[in-house]
Amino acid sequence: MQCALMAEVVEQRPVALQSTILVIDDDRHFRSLVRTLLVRAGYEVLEAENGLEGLRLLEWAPIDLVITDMLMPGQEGAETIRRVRKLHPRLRILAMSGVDARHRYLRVAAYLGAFATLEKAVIPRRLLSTVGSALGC
Amino acid sequence: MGPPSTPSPICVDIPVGLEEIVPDYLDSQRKMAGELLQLLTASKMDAIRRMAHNLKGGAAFGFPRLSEFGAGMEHSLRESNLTALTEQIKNLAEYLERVELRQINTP
Repeated sequence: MQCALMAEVVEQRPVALQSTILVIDDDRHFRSLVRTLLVRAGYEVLEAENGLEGLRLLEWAPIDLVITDMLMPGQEGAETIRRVRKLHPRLRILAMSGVDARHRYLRVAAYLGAFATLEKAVIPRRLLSTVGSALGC
Repeated sequence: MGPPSTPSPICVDIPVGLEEIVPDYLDSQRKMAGELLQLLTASKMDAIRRMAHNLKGGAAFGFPRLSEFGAGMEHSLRESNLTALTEQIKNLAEYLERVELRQINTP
């Protein structure tokens, strides 16, 4: 409802433009894919290669949503989610992971408090609706 | 005996909206497939494991076959089945060489 009101106030500007999303993934192709989909939808996007870099960005940049991979060198997704939840408890997190028959990584992400989880294979079809839900729009 | 036959191409449709990303992704995966055999020879299994994991995201770029390769390679790594892993890497490289991207014309 709040988003709808904002949309009325800034009629010429999509609501999505209000939001900045941090994408954390060591796979540059996947970051590029997610960035393309989000930028086209009007979101601002920041990128980080791993959880540590992502947390550094969170210190100074106003971020509305974090999208993180689960399996990364440096700092993995589970630790990233745990630390983001501790430092920014109101910030919503979307966790993504590759095909995993038992959804182990995504189940861990949900347990640690990720708002939503997505398998990478369905990102092009499902990303924007999931992001919209996470941002409450 | 005639000349060796050229393997037939495998057409892969570029998902709409990803035209700028997919060709670069395919080039990168072809290079990666070449590196995989070298990594296998050098027994750098952690690096292979990471590449196999990333391959599983291939379906998002329009390559569900790459996701299958990645899952199969991870399975072989878990089972320490180097024979299967070697075969999978060779098949992966052959598949990638045969891929031809096709642009979908939207109305």
